[in-house]
Amino acid sequence: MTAVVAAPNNPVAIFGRFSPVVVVSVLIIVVFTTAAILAPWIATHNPNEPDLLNTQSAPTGTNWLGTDNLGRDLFSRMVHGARSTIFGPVLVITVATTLGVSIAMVAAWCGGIVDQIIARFIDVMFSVPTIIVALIVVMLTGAGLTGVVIGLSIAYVPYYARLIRSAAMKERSLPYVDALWLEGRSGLWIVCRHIIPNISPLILTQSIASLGLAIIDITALSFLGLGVQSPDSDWGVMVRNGIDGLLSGRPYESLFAGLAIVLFAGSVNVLGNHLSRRFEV
Amino acid sequence: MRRILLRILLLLVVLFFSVFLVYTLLYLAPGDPIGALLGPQSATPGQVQLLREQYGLDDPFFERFSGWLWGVLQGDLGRSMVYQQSVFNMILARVPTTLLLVGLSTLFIVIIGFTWGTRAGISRGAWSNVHLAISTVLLSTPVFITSVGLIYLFAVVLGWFPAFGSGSDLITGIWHMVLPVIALSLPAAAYLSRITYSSVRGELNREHVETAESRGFSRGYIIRTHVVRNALIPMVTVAGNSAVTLVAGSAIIETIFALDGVGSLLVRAILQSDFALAQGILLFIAVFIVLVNAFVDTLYFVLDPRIRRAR
Amino acid sequence: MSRAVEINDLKISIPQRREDEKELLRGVNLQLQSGESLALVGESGSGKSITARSILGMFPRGAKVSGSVKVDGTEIVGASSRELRRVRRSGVAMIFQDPRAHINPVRTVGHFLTETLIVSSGWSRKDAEECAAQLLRDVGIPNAKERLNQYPHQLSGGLLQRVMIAGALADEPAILLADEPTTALDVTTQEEVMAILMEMRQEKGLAMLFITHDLELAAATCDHTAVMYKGRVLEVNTSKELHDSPEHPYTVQLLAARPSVAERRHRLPVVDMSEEQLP
Ligand SMILES: Nc1ncnc2c1ncn2[C@@H]1O[C@H](COP(=O)(O)OP(=O)(O)O)[C@@H](O)[C@H]1O
Ligand SMILES: [Mg+2]
Repeated sequence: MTAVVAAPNNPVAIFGRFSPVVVVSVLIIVVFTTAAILAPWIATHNPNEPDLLNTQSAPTGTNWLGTDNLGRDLFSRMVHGARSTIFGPVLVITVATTLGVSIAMVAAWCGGIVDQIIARFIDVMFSVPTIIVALIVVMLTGAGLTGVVIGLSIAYVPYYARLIRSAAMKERSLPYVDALWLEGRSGLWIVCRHIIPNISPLILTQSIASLGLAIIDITALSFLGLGVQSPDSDWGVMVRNGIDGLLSGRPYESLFAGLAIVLFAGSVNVLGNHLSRRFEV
Repeated sequence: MRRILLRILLLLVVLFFSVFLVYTLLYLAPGDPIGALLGPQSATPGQVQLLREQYGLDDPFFERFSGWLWGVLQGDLGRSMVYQQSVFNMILARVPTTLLLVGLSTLFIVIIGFTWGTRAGISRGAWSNVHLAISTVLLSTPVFITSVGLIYLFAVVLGWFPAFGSGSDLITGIWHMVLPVIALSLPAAAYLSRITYSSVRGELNREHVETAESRGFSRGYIIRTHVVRNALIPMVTVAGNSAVTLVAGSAIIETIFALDGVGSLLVRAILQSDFALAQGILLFIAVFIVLVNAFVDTLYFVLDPRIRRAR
Repeated sequence: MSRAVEINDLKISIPQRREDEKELLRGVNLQLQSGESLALVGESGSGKSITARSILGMFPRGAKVSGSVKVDGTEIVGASSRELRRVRRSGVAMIFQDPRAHINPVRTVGHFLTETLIVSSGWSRKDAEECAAQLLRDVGIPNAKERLNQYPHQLSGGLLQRVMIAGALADEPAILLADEPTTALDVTTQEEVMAILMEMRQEKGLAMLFITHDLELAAATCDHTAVMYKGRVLEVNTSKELHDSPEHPYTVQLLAARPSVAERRHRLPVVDMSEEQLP
């Protein structure tokens, strides 16, 4: 008698090493980022130039994605808007990572009361939604991309600090750190040359994972009118700007901008999932 | 019991500090509230001075803060400079809309996220891959895009639901809430279902489940009694956290669907530099966060005997 | 004497993606007579637990199973889940190695003891609790009524293993599978728990498969002893015969390398065997 017991189901399968989903995601990220960098050369029109005789147009041979309510070319606005939409979040993550890692290292290295205070503070920050933190900062700086980037950078710090603090604590307790210490190396040297490199996969993975969140948050704030200001374009601004057209049955602006955001954020998330599985963090 | 009281005390301390922090930040803010108040009108320096005195803008910091705090404790959050109304009354008038939105969404999130995550967690087939794919898409979709998509599909194309407004009574109110609630809930539901999924998966592989299997119980009984019940513990944290993020999300949703709630009021207050109003709403949100946290702590206590009996 | 459990040429392997199949059992033959006790001895990883679990039809996920396992005449390999549940409910009960992990931490001791009675046999809660309290007294736990309302983390390892034993006895099985029931406990409690287990078995006349890596303990407690090595049963004999005149060279080595009494709670030494020496 022979029986085969049901094989274990493996959810990792669809995000496996060479899975097409990951490949496509990376491709999307590369294409969008290239478009953002080369925006002035790719754009077919001046993104901010209205053409009141040609508003709310559907996609045509000259306006590849159609035009908005002022007759501005949507394709050109999309590629220009890609800049703030992609590099804004990257900036946020860079600043937040730097701050978060520094705070975590101070906490892990000093230990004791310093660590306790930092840990409590992180806990409190953690329970405040990122958007609220960003809103408070925007209120101080006034609406605009700068305020949004500063606000989100601050808002993301606790996420890094908490995760990296515990990783650094673990690392610090390893015997090699004591050995280096006895060799007379300074704390700063050990942190920069050994601890940070050793937990860098964790930092990278966390950065990619939060990049997906940052894209969503930053476009949401632009959508609310708190980020990039008109006439400059941004995918969040475009979704908002397209609502009037959408209500009258011309959804192109909202549709294309929304799709671009979902595709990009989704690709970043897929990549993040993939990396976290590979590094097993 | 003492544990919970201690937690609440800690949360109150946290609340005080966050209130203080927000107040200080807004105090230091560069914007000029009188300018915001006057708008395009011009005023003589004398009039400006009068207004400054009326709003106590020239008093020393701590005097202003303690005055404000004393007022807050008596239910007086000051006056909105832009709307010339009591902040407390403005918030109070909009709380029902927001609470309805957040309450219905929480319900929706818990039900959908829980059943969906459990279903995917206990299945051995394609379900879990489908679950992973759908939840990845939903988690990558900002609520404002979901909202716009829902408005286009269900309000513009199909015409089933109204796109904007709050409705006039409870029935039409809930009717107007359908799309906003779905839009607000989907990402959080996807997240909760992920957590449920992995915690159900984790519990399924636990040894005590093997014991239950060795005793010949049905799979359904084992899942209900030994898997889901244990998996609830991490899920509560996530559900609590998402209730908190819902408040932030409501700022976006209310703005899109033109719901007259606290969230959209906050966005307007910020755009118009109406500090007193913004302060009042942030205070309201802080209180909400503290309450949710206290509730989650209590729930933990009920769910996990290991915490309950620990001293 | 009827055969409570009969295992014939049981092979279990797990297909690997790249390498050859991983063979966990390579043709196990075992018989357990009603009312008798059989010890299964072997070093860690030799397949003892897998053998015991296959009596309940609990094969590793994704495993390829061939051969035959009969429990009271019912074929387990390839049985429907309904049949398997019936066997698990009524005939066989298992005592696991680590009670701390094998008892649900968020349910009370009372829940653990009464659930088979309530769910499988349809007892009322009140009757089941009455019975559970009696079971706790039987395994030597005082204050039975209060214990029922406690949670696993409030009991010591030894007490918890007694709870596990009581739970296994609740539904009056005919066959008991005990998978290293004392390995996770400290030395002093080991003896107490062992004594309780033997007493219960004798009193109720159960057949028992007792897994251990301790040949001495096997000889002292069981009628027969089987020696396992790398997924095979090398030798089965009455415990006395096996102890006094072992036939297989591996058993001889095991006995020769027997740990002194002071070291007894440690694992059996790993003895290397070349393939030719195996049957
Ligand atoms: N679910 C499983 N999947 C794959 N291999 C397993 C599984 N369970 C046990 N094994 C392997 O089978 C062998 C025998 O295990 P086991 O029966 O637990 O040994 P022991 O004699 O110590 O109880 C071990 O090498 C173990 O790694
Ligand atoms: Mg074992």
